[in-house]
Amino acid sequence: MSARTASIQSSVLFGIDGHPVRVEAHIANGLPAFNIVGLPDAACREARDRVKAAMTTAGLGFPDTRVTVNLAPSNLRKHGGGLDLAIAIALMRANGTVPEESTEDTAFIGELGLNGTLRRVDGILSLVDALSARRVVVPRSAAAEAMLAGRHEVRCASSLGEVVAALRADEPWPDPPTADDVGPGEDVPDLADVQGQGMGRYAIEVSAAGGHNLLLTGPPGTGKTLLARRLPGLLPRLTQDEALETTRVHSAAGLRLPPGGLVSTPPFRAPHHGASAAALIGGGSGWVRPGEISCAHNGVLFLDEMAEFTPSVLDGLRQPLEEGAVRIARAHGSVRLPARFLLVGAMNPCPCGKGGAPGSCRCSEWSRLRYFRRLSGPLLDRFDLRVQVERAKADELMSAETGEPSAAVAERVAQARAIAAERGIRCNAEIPPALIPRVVDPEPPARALLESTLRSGSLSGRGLHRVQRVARTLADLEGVEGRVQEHHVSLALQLRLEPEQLEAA
Amino acid sequence: MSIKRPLPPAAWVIDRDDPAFPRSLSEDPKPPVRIFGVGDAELLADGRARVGMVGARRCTSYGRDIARRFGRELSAAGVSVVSGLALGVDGAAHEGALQAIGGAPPIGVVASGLDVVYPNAHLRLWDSVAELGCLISEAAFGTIPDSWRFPERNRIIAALSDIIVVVEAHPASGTRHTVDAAIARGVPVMAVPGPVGSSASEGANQLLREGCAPVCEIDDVLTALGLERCAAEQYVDPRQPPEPGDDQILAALDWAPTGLDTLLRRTGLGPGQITAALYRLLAAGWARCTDGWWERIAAPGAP
Repeated sequence: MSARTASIQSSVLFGIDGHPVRVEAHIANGLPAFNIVGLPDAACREARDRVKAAMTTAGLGFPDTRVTVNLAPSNLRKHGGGLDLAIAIALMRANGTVPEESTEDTAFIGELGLNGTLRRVDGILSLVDALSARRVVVPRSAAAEAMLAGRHEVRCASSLGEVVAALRADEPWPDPPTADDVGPGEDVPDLADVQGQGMGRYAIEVSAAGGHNLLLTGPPGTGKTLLARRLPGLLPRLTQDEALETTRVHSAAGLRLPPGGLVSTPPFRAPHHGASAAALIGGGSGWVRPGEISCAHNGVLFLDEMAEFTPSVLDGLRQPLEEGAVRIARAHGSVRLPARFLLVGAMNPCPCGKGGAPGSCRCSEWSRLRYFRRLSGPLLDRFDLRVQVERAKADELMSAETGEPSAAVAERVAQARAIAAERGIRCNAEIPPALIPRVVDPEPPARALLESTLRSGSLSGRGLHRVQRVARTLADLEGVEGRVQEHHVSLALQLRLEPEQLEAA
Repeated sequence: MSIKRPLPPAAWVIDRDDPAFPRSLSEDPKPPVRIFGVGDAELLADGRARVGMVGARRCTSYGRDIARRFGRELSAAGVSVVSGLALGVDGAAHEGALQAIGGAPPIGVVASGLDVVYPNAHLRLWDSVAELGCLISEAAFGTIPDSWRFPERNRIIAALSDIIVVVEAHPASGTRHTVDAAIARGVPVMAVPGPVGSSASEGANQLLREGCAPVCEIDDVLTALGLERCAAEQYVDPRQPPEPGDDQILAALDWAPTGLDTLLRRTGLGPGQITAALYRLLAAGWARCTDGWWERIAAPGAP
């Protein structure tokens, strides 16, 4: 018996991008052996045992001669178990179990269980998208996600046996899962539940409307987290492109996808303050996993107890905040991960957390300074909005009146964003400096207020642009199309408190 | 934090057995072994009335304004203001004393060595007090301001003063040390009443409840010292009255640090209206803003 070969298309994930891979099987005479070459990592090399067991238990037999599998290109590191199905099919093509024409122009993705079940792997959307084949076979649970790529004829199966039966035309392909098979989506909390908090409510509305990063300070238990969680509900739904991009990240990061597979609402990520740089920014050894900032792409990244994060980890946010993406370089290559998110931070005004008002607590100036210095100046500067949240009064908390619901606020936000879109930008936080004089154009009293604040030293030159952008958002929210007025500027200044007192101490 | 700097050339040291050692300190139950000083040593023994003004470091605008005003008025009335040059009330009292034209020279008592300035924000105040009055310390040159040195310093303030005036103080604070030291030495303690419910005035109000005499104007202090009451400062507020709508906002500020949330609730106005009014009040000198907390200004002239 001469050597028999076969080649099957599949793909592997690096970062959030799929890379096409050809799985070549070679069955030759010789002592029984099964080798996988082509830079597989540990999980991928273990495919040997999974594939062997799955084929045997599915009753398909396993070649008792010398078997070599090559994963091309051989210089690309192959990570994970997503190639299991392709390896099994390549072997069965080589030994004639499945006919050659049945796998023509067809790619296979999926991990095998020892009993032959087909399991989903992370990053299906990217994996499918990278394929040039016309038809792709994926695990049943990943079918909805695979279809999002839109260019392929998606076939799904829940076991190796089903795949082989369909390829041999013994059985038809199983039907993809219908929408009923999946549970209901998650509810976004509503702003109507928040009582009092006039400024806090206003701050998240402005933040949503202009895409302005927001830092909430206030004593514990004042509702900073409550407010932040309601921010995604005020943001517009993601466009198709945004949704696909966010879905790719979520899928690659192994997050649970919503029913239908597409992440269409802005994500909300709230990592704990113990997060490492790799967890927050992305990375890992051997391969690159998207970090929390990428998982928050097109949504909200909420950092509670911000002063408790490791300062160097927080400073890693600076470059992604500017660029909307992060490039992570490792020895074996670099990856660009999208990370355009709205940053919301929350922290106490001082270490004791009592209040922060002058005279209200006895934290020394030095301890307050040290606490605030945990956020570096450049990072602090990237918050367009820095708002203090006060404790709600008892009568407000006990009141049966509900606040304005998210839907009403979201409508104003959408209008403001529509005005920003007419300027050719996504939101006002992205107004380029060169455009500011034309777009903002404060009225004389508003200009005088900006000038006097600059002179008094309580507004930095860097802060000026940010205040002007916020003032523009405030005007947009009010539907003021023309020049920015005095009260917009005064409010913008108050929504961006400069920690000048602390700097001076 | 503190700043180390070269020793001032005019610094002096007086030992306890030196005849020049001030009697108020040598007769103290716990006299310092020696004192280090810059400025006019005569001030410690010249028979002029001395009033210690002490209070909270984390004070409100109210405390700062009052301390500054009383410091200025006492100094103008010929009374030396003794204080610790700390942040907050202490510093404000001396700032006021230095403002008085032709006023009595101030006396500063610090806890660190005279070449270790603490807090560093008060570097200029140290120099002014040393230049126009006298700055002393029990600690040798080069001593860093360890926290245990402050209660020790407070006893010297009590020993040097004829009366102690407490402006704003948290209960169980450093101010309480000075008060206890004053009581142990038979120095009368007076307190400035503060708003009920204000955490910064809790200690001062507690003293009043315990029977201390209140200080509502400096005549209260002058009378207690047995001095003549001074003609009340002819005071004309140079500020333009607030614009018609803005006095409503000013009233809502209510003499305590107030956040925007509270103002929204009290006035029922929109945030834009409120902030525009606040900035007009700021420009006219009626209000100030510290880290987002707005406070009224009782009298102009205060930075």
